[in-house]
Amino acid sequence: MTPTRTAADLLGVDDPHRPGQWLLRLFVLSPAQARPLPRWLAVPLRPLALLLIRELGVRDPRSPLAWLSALVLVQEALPAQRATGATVSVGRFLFAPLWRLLHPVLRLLAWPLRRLAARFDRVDFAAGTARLERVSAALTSSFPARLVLLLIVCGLLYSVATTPLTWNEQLLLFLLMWLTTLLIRRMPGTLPTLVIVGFSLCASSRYIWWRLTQTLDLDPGPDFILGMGLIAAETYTWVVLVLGYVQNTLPLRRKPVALPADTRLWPTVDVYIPTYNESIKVVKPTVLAALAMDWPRDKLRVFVLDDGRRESFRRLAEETGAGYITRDNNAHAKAGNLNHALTVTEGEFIAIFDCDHIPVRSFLQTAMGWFLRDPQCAMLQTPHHFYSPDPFERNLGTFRQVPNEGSLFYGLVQDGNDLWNATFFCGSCAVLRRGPLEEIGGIAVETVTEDAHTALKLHRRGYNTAYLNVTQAAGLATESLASHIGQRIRWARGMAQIFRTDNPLLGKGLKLFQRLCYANAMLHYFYGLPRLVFLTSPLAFLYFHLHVINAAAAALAIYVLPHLFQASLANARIQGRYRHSFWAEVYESVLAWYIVLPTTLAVINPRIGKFNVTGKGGLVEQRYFAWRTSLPYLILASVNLIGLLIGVVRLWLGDGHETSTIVMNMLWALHNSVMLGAAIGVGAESRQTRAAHRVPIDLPATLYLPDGRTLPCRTVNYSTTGFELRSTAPNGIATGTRLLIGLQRGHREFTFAAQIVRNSGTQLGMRLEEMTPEQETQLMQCTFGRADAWLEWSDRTPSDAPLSSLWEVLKFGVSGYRRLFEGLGALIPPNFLRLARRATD
Amino acid sequence: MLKIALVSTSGGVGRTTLTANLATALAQRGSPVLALDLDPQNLLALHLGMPPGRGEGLAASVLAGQAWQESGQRNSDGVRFLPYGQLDRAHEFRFMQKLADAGDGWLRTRLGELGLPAETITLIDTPRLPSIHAQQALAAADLVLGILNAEISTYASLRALLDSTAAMRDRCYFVLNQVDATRALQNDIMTVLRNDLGAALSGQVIHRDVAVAEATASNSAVTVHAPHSQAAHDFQGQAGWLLSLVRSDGAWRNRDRDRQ
Repeated sequence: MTPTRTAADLLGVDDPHRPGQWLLRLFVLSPAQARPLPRWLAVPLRPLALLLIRELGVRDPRSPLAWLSALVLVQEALPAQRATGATVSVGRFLFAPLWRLLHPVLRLLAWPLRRLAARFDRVDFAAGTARLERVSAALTSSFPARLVLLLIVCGLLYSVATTPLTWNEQLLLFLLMWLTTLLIRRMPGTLPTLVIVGFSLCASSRYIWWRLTQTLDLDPGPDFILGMGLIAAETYTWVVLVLGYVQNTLPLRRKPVALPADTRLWPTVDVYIPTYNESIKVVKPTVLAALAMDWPRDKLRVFVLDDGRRESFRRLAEETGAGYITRDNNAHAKAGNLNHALTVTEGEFIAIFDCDHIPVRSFLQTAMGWFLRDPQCAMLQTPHHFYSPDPFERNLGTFRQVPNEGSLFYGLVQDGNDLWNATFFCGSCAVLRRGPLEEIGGIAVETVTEDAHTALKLHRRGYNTAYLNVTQAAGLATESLASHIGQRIRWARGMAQIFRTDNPLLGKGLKLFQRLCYANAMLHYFYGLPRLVFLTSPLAFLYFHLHVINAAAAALAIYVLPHLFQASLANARIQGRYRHSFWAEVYESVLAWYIVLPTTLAVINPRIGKFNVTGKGGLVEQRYFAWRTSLPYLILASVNLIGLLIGVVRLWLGDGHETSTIVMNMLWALHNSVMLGAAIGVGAESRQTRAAHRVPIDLPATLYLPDGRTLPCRTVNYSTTGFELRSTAPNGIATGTRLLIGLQRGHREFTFAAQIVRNSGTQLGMRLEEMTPEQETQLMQCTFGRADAWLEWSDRTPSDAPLSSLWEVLKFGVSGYRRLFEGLGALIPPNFLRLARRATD
Repeated sequence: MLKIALVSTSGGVGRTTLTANLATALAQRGSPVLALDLDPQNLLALHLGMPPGRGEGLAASVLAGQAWQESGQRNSDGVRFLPYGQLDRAHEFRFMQKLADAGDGWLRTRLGELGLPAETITLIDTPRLPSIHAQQALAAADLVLGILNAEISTYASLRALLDSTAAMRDRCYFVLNQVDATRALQNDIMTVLRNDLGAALSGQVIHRDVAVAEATASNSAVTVHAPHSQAAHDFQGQAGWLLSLVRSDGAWRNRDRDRQ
């Protein structure tokens, strides 16, 4: 027996090859060696422990963390679906008394503001807006006039940004802008928006000018390098902010155009549904719904483009009456698949749906009008809508509460692009005109984001594009954080590739603003590095005492606060309905780490990397913590938290003359920690138990019972496999009863055989039984295919209020750490806690 | 008073059931209602809770020269009704003769004499068209409800129904009764009917439901007996549709006033 083995036995180390075990056993006895509590101690302790467990609501007495959280946090039962319940009460517990104290004071202070706001309600803004529009139309009627105006505005902005002011004056300017913004932000119309955006431009430009001219430390050294990194990141942010205002301040908000009454004038449409490895369960509803779209039968052909060349898909196409197209290779993935289909079909228009995007019946009638109105229109895009929560929504529990990551793009950015005739093609839920598409050689294959590149090529040829913000199709969101990130990586890489290979700022054919819109879209994906810079900048001072900003903390504050406040207010005004304040930082913080490398690599060599299919319709079987995915944020969060600790220590030790700088950097690190906490919260994967997603909807339904009775109900939600219903009175239907459920589509009623699987008096769960292909189509038409299926969906998300949004993000930040601790608890070996278990058994 | 004649060209479509249940649903909503039976089968009274076998009714009153109020009834759901009454064959013929002689304005005049509140909605149950009773009801009516089934026979006789109500085309509406939506053929016929009749066909169909027959058997209206059944739900919907129709079409009040 070797000495090592002996030592291991002595210490109770099971596996001598793991250093962690050694460390653990140095301090903690192995289960075999642990002595039970002496009886005289165990007997009196036991009732006490039981009492504590019951009173505190300790969920797992063996886990010290459960004890800790039970002691510190107010606990609530966590339903499996919503995983954030407990966090709310933590905040309330800590801040409610403070809020109660402050609230009356704030109300009193805001009284004059409220009086003034009330006066605004009686002002007729419509007349003013009309007058303003007449004047601006007169001023911008000719190109020279517009140019002169633009030059004047730029000159003004330049002088505002560069005029030196004393501290007092700068502070006064900020207060003036801020108070004015608070006053006018409730006024309707375009003018207040423009004023608020103007303020934000002034504040941000002043800040960036001040930073560039006054605060750079040009002595070589680590201060210099880090300082340059930070200023580069800040300049990037400023550019993206300005471009964002250009892009989004005046969204076009196009309305559908009616088709001619004579259906003979309607064009022929081919519907492409490309698929590669998705399950037939995901694809089938799409095919059925596409076939059921309202369009003349002889002018609508649906094709399944199967790159997986699967027999089951061929049969599906045959049974449903769709076309089935395959090819003998998989070159260029989805783009190649679509291009191949272009060569073997002949419809005048091509509607493209990702295989999980289920169109509603009115899709074509809504979308096609613009093509007939504008013969130069080559592409029309409609929003991508997801009826299942994405990983952010699922893991943070914000589904339908907070606008998701995509809603800014489809709610505002695309409408903003549309104003400049720069709508992007997004690969699905869109219609393309065959002629122009063939002219540019089909879907672009050079990059991994073939869709955006295709639109760019169309724009270069002088074709128009359109965006119609009417949700006419819905699909599944990515099912796990890892695959969500994978998808975003692909987009980021593709955008970087386009930026390198076919830069929209260069080359012919584009208008200035089209170039700017494209440039912004592509620049946007380079946020990874700047975000990481912001997440680590305060640490340079806290850890190493490096001054990355060569300015006093107070000076920085009076420049940076106007920049942050005005930008936040302006964005709340422009995009409040589509992106709540501070959420962009959460989304970016999660993705930043992962898109840094792909975008950088793509800029260096655009040819690296291959198309990865986004996984859809999967299941997250169990709640777990995505350690692998969250690792970067864990590291970033730890270094920020440690930085905070160091800051506290330095304050404690009295670091003399730099107190304000320490505090400022600590606030920054705290802000970072909160954002990272939310990012960590996203990494804690909640369970996703159902194979088929439940879509909430309130529709009348009729139950036909086997005894001849009928029962009216309303649906609570539906999926492709079942329904949840509620009846007005206890219905007394036995579980297991087989019955028929009738649903209406227009005035027509369709019935489906179903079995009751759950009945709690007025709430019924039922599973649909085997259906004929015809019935499956009918079910599709009554549910996913309804023209109004998704219309009111976005109306329900509350609009933005910056303060409550900050509060929200704060909550999610704290909850992220809490869930991290829960995840840690799951990692600790059970025998670690043997003593506690003894005491309670 | 608004008079609504419920008519059909085929038997067994559920006119009487519909009249009784609609009257109850309207009464439950607080509308003053009079249900009037002009059908010699005399079944409306049974549907409204009167025990079978009692002979008195408006036909007998007419023949005896009595006031109609004598045979008026009112049930516990607040529905006033006038049963047709039981007549032997000879009296039946005499009554029909009287209807034929009286001319088109007779029923309208007699109803006016009842002195009911102006908001009262009178539902007139009739035998199937063509008949002298139904003709009198049509002549008196401000609105006509044609009762249909989603059956092929109904569809075949739709032309006849449209012809007999042609005089009041703009005041003639249709209701689908006893619909079995689980059968594809019925759904198809419904689609065709909706296509042919357009807005004149009520959007609210009444489903076939055993609760209706069970309610009659237990001497009650379905909205009272099985308020959570689909049929009760449908009758409520129908009553709502009818009331909105009445309110949106204020013209009948004027017509009423002009005649007086």
